[in-house]
Amino acid sequence: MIYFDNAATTWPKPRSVTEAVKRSLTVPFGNPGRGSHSAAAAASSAVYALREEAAELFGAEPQNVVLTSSATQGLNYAIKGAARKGCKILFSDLEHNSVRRPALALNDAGLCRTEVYGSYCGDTDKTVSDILEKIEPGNSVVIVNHSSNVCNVRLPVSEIGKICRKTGSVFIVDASQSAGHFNVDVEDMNISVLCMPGHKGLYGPMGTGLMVFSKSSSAGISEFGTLIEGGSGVDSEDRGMPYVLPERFEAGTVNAHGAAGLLAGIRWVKKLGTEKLREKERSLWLDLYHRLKGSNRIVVYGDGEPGAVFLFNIEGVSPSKVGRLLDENGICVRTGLHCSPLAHKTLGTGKDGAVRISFGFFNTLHETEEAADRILKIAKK
Amino acid sequence: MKDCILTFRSQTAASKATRYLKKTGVKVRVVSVDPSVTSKGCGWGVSFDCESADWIKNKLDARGISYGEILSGGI
Repeated sequence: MIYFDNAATTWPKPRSVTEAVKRSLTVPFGNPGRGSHSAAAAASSAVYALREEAAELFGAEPQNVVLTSSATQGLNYAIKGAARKGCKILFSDLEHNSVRRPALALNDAGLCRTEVYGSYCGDTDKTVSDILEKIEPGNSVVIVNHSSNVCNVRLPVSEIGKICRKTGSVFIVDASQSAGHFNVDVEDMNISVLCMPGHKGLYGPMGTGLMVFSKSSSAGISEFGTLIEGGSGVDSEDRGMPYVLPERFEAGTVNAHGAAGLLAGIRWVKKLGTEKLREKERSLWLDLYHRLKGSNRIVVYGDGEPGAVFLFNIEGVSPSKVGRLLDENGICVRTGLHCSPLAHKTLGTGKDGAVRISFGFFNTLHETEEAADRILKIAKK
Repeated sequence: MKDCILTFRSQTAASKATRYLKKTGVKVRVVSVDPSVTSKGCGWGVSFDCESADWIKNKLDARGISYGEILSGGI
């Protein structure tokens, strides 16, 4: 089988990740944060080590790293937690539904207004100008998809962060496709809250995610409302969730087995280096592109920017049919709108979306060669 | 040797202090503290040899790690 759906979840995982999860399920591994006996301590130690590793990777303090079940959960916590009555929420035209839907839900509930700003194929000046025109100082929540899940356009996080700092706006970054691929530093980039899954570019297990707060956001944590309340192991007699991170957003038992795997995943990524991961994905993208560019029936989207995602269509063949035909030949890709209808509209792929090939570190040039052969055969039919 | 406990608001804060102190070579461990000892229930602490109390507090102060009070007399 050739697995080309790494933007949905990376597979296979590094051996150290599977071994860490297996070990956590085998040795005494209690409930972290709920006791101090040796079994609980083993799990607590793994969870805290994960916070430390993630904090180092994203320029934060360990206690400001919150464990979530996914990027979507973190984004919901961040967006709905930061929203105040009458606020304005700005998000880009490349956003995933994990941002678009919670923002629109707040709009539909009459709490906030939403407005979309342009990505302009990565033209920083145009994006900055658009945000400056739409932002309301002291009353805005700005959300940005650092790197899209359907094309390789990256939005100018540092520049947007500067605007947010100057205008006193909350700045939320969706790093679903960039964490593990690109360097992200919450302090340098003026990010209020950074959200990501653990199972994509960080090579951890599914069911894991992280929400990373900057120092200033952490200091003003009472401004962030909660969505889920429950046991946190802190201030148990209080009516509400504690005003302390990470426990404010960790009601209930955290996924400690997943955390053990994600810890191993982050260590693996750090050891390898994000640059090496990017190089591998770029080389696979370029190889596939050069093999397919001769066909006049194949349309590649995203301005020819090489990277982890290769989005295309074959004229006259629906994306779902292309996906089925590839699957029949043991090639796993994802078709349709990829939960990003806004991004597809921006790219102009059409109502059925497109076919997405997304690379991971374990893919090979032999696999891109085989996939290209299959795609060209479909295009010739 | 007499055990002392330095209290912390959360298990994460206690873990942060413990990991830092262990790196300096001192023997410490995270422990639960009886709810009656803390003002809001569910307390956490770091246990250590009482003779190291001042040294530990100085280290945590220098590192900017906040803590509660010292309970002498052990667990």
